[in-house]
Order: sequence, then structure tokens, then C-alpha cells
Amino acid sequence: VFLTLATLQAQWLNYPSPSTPRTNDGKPNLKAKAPRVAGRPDLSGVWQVQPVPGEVERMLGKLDADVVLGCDPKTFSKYFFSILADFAPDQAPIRPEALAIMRNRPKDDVPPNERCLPEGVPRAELIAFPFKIVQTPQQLVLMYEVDNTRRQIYTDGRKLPADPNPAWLGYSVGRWEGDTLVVDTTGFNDQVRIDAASHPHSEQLRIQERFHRLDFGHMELQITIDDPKMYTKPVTFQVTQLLMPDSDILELFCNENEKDRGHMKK
Amino acid sequence: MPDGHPDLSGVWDRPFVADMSKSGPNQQGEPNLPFTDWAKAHLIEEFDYSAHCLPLGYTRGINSPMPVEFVQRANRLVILYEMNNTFHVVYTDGREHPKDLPPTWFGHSTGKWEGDTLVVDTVGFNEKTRVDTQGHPHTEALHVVERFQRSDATHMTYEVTISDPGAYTKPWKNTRTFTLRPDWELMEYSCDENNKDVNEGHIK
Repeated sequence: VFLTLATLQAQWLNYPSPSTPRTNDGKPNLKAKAPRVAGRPDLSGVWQVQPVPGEVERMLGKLDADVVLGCDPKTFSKYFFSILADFAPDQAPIRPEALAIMRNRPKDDVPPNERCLPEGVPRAELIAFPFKIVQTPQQLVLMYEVDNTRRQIYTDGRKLPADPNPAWLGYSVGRWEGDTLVVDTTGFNDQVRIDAASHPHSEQLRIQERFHRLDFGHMELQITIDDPKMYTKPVTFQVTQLLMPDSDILELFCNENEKDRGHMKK
Repeated sequence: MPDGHPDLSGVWDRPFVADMSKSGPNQQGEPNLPFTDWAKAHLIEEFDYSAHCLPLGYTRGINSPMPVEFVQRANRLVILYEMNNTFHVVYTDGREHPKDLPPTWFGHSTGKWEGDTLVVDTVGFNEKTRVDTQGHPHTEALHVVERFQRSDATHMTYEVTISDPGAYTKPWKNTRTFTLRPDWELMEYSCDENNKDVNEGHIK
């Protein structure tokens, strides 16, 4: 799959959009002002998390053996691997119940995404695969390249449902606080993993994302994981999303050429 | 819309079109599909790709019984499918199809307004899908043209023309009526969840 990706990029992922601001030499001007629509910042565009050189290897050690063409875990956010990446192990705000859940997982535990189930929130925004936002006054549509999964964030003033159907991506509503879109999500099912370390969550999990587009090419994304059953306090971290100008997301379906399934435990 | 075009946004309830040659409530099919000899030899689907949770493909996505939501803004129409949680983007900014399109499950779509009708042109398909659940075949030459027109506050007429000289000797059509459902939301739909056919090895 990753080989195909590299080939595709060479073929047609360079559409110079007329709406991209440019510097005198014709290159996209990533420091131009953030576009606005209907009186709000327009978050629309193709985004991918900014890699922080060295941070993943400092946490996980050498990863060169895990690099395949088109997918380099060193360029993921460290928070993809652990929402508690900022804490020393003995100071992490995790409850003993949560640690027990992790200890008691079977040795051959297979995270659901390895069975082509959804990557989920916030992982799909922390992995080195882009996602596309299309914003209207009523909603934001997020289209994750990973398994080409849709997500909707309603911005029409509705409240979170009192009794949501448990879902892989939960149920999301957003509201503007000045130029920051504040997105609250609840209703997660108990199967989705919030990070690659498989830190546990309960159905009380609430995730807040704060999207703040600083300029044309940069967007701050602050994420707070709040689950009082599993963590002693809310955990907040921040990443930068970089706009990929004149580019696009690709088709990527996990089930295509999926060969692991026959090798995994049923 | 601010740009003067009709707004197709909303959750649309559509007839389930399992067989595009048949007619039924809110849909009119082509009873005599003009198969080429290649198509006649490929009417039987040997590998049921949708049972493996592979993408339905473009025409089966819009044929599916679950709702779709259209999200329209200037220069884009986003199609969100309840089925399989996926999406498709129609570029309405005047661009043409890229040359040397890699074949994909959903193809590449451009849209142009002809008066109040949005005409969506899609090419660049792989050969792994079928045009409908019945299994009518197509080749990589498949060319889909769809016409979307709001007929009143809660309805849209939909006409799709299938052209594929590899599989059909001439283009053929299917027409439908979509109904707007202002009170509906798309639900999450994960094909891989509990897919016992594959996970327990009942099908290959």
C-alpha cells in the first residue's frame, strides 16, 4: 500500500489552487493570513501533524526498522504513541484501575485498528497521514486519509446528546470561542484505543479539541483527554498541524491488500 | 448558496438500487443492458469484494440503502456515505480530471453547474468494483455522469448515465428521486466490526 502511495503522489498530487496565496516567487505563502468564511476562520484544507525531530525516538528508542516507504513513525506526534508522553512514569496521572487493565491485557492483544477498525480520535490527527477539513457554517467535515474515514463536527448550536450511541469516533459538537473552534466529543465505545500504548478509557471519556488556525499554513491543535474513571486529572497536550498546499489526500483503504488477518488470532 | 447555486446540502434518503436494470418505487432502470461480449463473460462475480469490507465503489455507494449526506460549499461538494463511514469529494472549482489518473475505487469527480443542475463527471476507476449489488460489470473505462437537480424543497431528481465501451455497447441511464430528511443524521457504520464471514473464515 505504501509503495502505491509514493507512486500516486508523483502522478497527480500537485494542483496549484487559485485560492492559495503566493509569494513573489510563486510558492505558497504559508505565513499569509488565515482565510475566513462567514465571519470565522476557515479551517478548510489538507493538514498533517508537524513532526518534532527526535521526540519519538527519545521516547521509544531507535525506530529505523519500523520505517516503510510513505510511513515513518518518527514523524508521528509522540502523543500518538502515548497521551501521557509528557509525564515521567511515576508521575503520570493514571489511576491504578487503568494500570491494572493494561497489565491484564493478553500478551497477544491486537489493537482494533490492526483489524482495519477505525483509528479514532485523536490518533487520526497525530499520525503522519493527512486529513482534509471542509468547513461550512453548520459543520466541519474531517476526512482522514487513514482508511478514508469521515467524521462530522456539528457547529449548528446543537448540544451533545444525553445518551449517545457508543461509536468509534464518538459524537462531536463545536463552538467558536473567538477565533478558536472548541470541539467536544463524547460517546466513545469501549473498544477504540486512544493511543498506541492502549491507555484505557471508560465510557465517561470526553475529548476536547481546540483548533486555532494561526495563519495560512499553520494550525494549533490542543487536545484534552478527560476521563475521571481512568485518570486523576484531565491530560492536555498541543501539536501543530501544517497545511499541505496544492495537495490532497489519497484513497487509502485498510482492507485493500490486507494480509495480516490470516496470520492473526481469530 | 452565496454563489447563487442551489444548495444540495442535507441528508438524503434514496431508493436502494441493487439492480440498475430494474425499476421500482422512485427509480427507473434500463431493462435491456447493452452488454458487450466481455461483459457477458464477466457477469458472475467470483470474489465478493463487499463482503470483505472493501469499498463499494462510486456507483454502489450512491445505490446503497443507507443515507448519504451532501455538504456543499463554494468549489466543493462533499458526499458522506453512511455505509462504510467513507466520503468522496467532487471538485466544483472548474478543474479538469488530471491526466494519468491512477485507478481508484471511487474515481475522480468534477462538477459543473448547468443552470440549476449539478452535473458530476467521474472517471479513473479501478476494475475491482461492480456498478451495482447485482454485479453488473465495468472496466477501467467506466465513465459516470450524474445530474442532480432540486425539484422542490424536499426532493431531488437524480439521473446517472453509465458509459463504458468495454462493458456496454452504448451508454445507459438510471433515474431516481431522492428525499431530503432534515431530521436525520448519518450514523456510524463499520463494516469490519463483527464481520464474522471474514474473521471466522467462512468466506475466502
